[in-house]
Amino acid sequence: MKKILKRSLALLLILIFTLGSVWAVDRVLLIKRYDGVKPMESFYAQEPGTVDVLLMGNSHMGVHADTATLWKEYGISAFALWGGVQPMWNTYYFLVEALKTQQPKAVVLEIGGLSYEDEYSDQATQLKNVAGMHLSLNKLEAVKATAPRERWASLLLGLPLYHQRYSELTQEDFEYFPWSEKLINIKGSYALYGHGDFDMSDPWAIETVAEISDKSLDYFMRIVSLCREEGIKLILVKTPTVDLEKYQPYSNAVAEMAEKLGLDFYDFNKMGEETGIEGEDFYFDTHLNLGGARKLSLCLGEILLDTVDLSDHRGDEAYASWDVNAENIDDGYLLTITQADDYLDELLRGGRAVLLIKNGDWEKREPYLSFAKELSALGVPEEELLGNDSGAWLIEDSAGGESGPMGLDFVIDGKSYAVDFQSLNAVTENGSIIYSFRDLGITLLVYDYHCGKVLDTVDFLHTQGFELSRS
Amino acid sequence: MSFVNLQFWALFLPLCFLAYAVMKSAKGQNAVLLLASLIFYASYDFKYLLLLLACTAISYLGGLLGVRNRRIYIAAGVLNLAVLLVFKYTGFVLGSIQSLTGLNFSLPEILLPVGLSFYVFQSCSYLFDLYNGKLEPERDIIAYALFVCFFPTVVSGPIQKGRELLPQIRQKRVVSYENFSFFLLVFLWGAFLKLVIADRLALMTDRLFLEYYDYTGAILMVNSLAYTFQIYTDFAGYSYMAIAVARLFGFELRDNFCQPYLATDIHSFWRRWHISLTSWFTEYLYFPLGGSRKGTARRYVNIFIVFLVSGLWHGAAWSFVLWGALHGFYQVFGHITRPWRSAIYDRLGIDRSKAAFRLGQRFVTFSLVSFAWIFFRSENLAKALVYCRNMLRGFAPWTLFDGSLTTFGIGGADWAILLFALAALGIVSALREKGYDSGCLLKQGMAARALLCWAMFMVILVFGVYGGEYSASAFIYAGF
Repeated sequence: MKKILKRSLALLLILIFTLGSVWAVDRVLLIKRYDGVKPMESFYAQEPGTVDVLLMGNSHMGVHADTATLWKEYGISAFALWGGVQPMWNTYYFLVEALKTQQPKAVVLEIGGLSYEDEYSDQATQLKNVAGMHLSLNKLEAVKATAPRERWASLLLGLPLYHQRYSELTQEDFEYFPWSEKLINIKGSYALYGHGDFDMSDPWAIETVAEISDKSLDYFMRIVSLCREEGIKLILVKTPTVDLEKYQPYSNAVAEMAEKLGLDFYDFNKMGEETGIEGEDFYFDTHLNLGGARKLSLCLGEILLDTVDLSDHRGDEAYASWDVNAENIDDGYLLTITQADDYLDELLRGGRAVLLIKNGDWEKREPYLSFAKELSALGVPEEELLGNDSGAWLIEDSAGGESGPMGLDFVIDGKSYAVDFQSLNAVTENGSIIYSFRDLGITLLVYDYHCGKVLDTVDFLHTQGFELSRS
Repeated sequence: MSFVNLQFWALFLPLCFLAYAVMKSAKGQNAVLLLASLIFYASYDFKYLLLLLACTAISYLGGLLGVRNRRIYIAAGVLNLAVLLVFKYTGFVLGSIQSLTGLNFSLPEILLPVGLSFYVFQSCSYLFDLYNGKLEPERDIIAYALFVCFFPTVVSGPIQKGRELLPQIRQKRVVSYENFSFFLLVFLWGAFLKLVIADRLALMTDRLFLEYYDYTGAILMVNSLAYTFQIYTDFAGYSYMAIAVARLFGFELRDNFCQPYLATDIHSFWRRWHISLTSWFTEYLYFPLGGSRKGTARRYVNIFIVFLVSGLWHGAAWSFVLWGALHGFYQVFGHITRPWRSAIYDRLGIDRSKAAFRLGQRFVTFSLVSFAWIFFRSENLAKALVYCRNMLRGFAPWTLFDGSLTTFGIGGADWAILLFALAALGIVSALREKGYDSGCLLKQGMAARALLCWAMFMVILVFGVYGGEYSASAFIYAGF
């Protein structure tokens, strides 16, 4: 008997250890898709009861709503819980999952998911819309709605579908554990940096009304019922798109439905004046860039404040992660900007120190004359920029404050920076070279107070016509 | 449903084992296993099950009726073989007639039932043993049906003989911790061979045996080497899993493989490869033909007959016949030239007891076997010949090092995994050759065994080739 007990205990321990190992491997190999998996995984990391607004739906919500703007401008603790090409059934199960830990006051639902007519999405979409969910009965129900029977087991477990990722692992793959501190700072929204230039269509010209599939409609109604049961304000939106031929008939259908159901529906395609969104605010024809998302979020923030009783959580220590999220989004944007005017506009939003360095002398004519004028908006007098000397100026707040006097040694956030045009031909931080001059021109070292480090260094070289470049 | 299927692991095996464990008698255990076996087999295709039951009934009744007249044993055996002939060879025979005569008629499309060649041979071995008086007829229909339908072996063997398995079926088996340990260890090793090695190699071989005409030299050589390991790890992997599952229920099945690629000659290779089939052919075909008792020439003819039939057993195509003929030729040629080779070695002063000599023999044997697999794997004889022609021209050794090999479905990381896995296989094979088998591992402490099982499980979990879109049913030998 003693032997049997001993063996049973040993087997139990082995089983627990093996299951623990499988769990750890699953965490590492999980596909960290930003469009479905990452929002759900980071949602689990949020402090219970802190999310006031859930932004839900497909990529039109995840990309078009900017949680950073909602936070910075209105103090709204919003979370974008979305998935790429997410059908309404996955949105419903995401909502059920979300309500296990959060009591949001409002759910903003992008209705683009109602336009999917197939019974099941493609296999990749199926995976990214359930893989982030933790194992539970709700996930099982989600899997059953998402895929045909033969894929249930592999979708539920996940690992059979992504275990072969071992050859593409990165540092990020090892950060999806409950003790990771990074996940709480992700609030779901995904910014697209860069812009196209599209002609906007007239949404009023499209009057056809699409027929929504039975399955989509069923799950849409489930969302409506669930929100009513939980006392959550449901706001339907159609975020802007250039591809109106596809989406406007569905917006028209939802407008009719919303009226019957007594729901708020905002068709932002028809609210161009309020949002101020133009063709250049799009990254491509169906998605806004961050600039467009910021404009839309300003408008959405106003709507939320008008229709929902929301508190401003800015300054509350319990909501500090929303600050980090906002800074991360903005920092990510800065690092990808490739146009000088976009870059200066972003710096003027503030929150950073700029060390402006003029290296050498050149003939003062266009395009430098115009560029110097633009640069002066940061706070360095234009006449100094047009002078003949090499030198540097520290702008402690890039929101347009006055620069200090021209010099070579500066202190930012307690760190010493020295500009050496002679022997080193470089910039040092606490004695270590952090940047070497490439050619004559203007260099901007951008120090981010939130990161506590030099975030970006860009050159506007004389030989390149003062176009923005990075070494 | 197969051994590496989630349904098998999560549902079928645990339920079957639990029901089996609570049975108090051999009859109860047999009933549970028979029901499980029928469900297992029906999961491939329900109508196949009827054929399995028909073959079982023929051999069972033949066994009972043959007591009065021994010719009934033979008649029942022939009837079983006729089923095999009809389902497996009708298309081949008619197709060959069509090619030879130029007659134009439509060929019937007959699907080969899963495992037919295995359970027909198993039934026949029972009848032939009865005929030879080596066995008493089994009167318990459940016990006999379990002998033929036993789910670990029904799809791909190992082919069991009645006198080995039926006595085990008749007595109550013990569910024991030792059997469970053996099951875990051996099953995981089989799954490792199948999922980590065989199915990874298949990513390349499936493609290159289809697109062989675009490639030459080194690439095709590596591909034939890859297939050499693929077929071994695929079939040996299955056999290990079958043996392990059988042991879980208290049955001891014989090994089906014994380091075949360490054989020093072709004769030895066949004593190590698919041992249950070789044993069947030896006992029920080679010996009845006269074996080596009727002179050297007749012996060679008998060897050829056995290998031609063996080739046909593996597949109804001329490429399989040629594969069998090649092995027959290897054996006969090896036997004829043995005295001459010995004389040459003596004259050159080569010490045949040296390890280097044996290594050379192994290399030659391995190369011959590997070459023959090309005929086994190719779709037909013409394609096999074109493959060989392409392989022997334009050697292009640089293609082994310029990254070309990573463009056929096996990437750089996968090659690294393969090399590690094959090294593990090599080490295990060498240890087994030295006499260390699973029994040695089972004698180790629990912590060591648990660690080994855990490591194998994790390696399979991460590096195994499986997933939602992966068809685990594709065990190569299940098609025979």
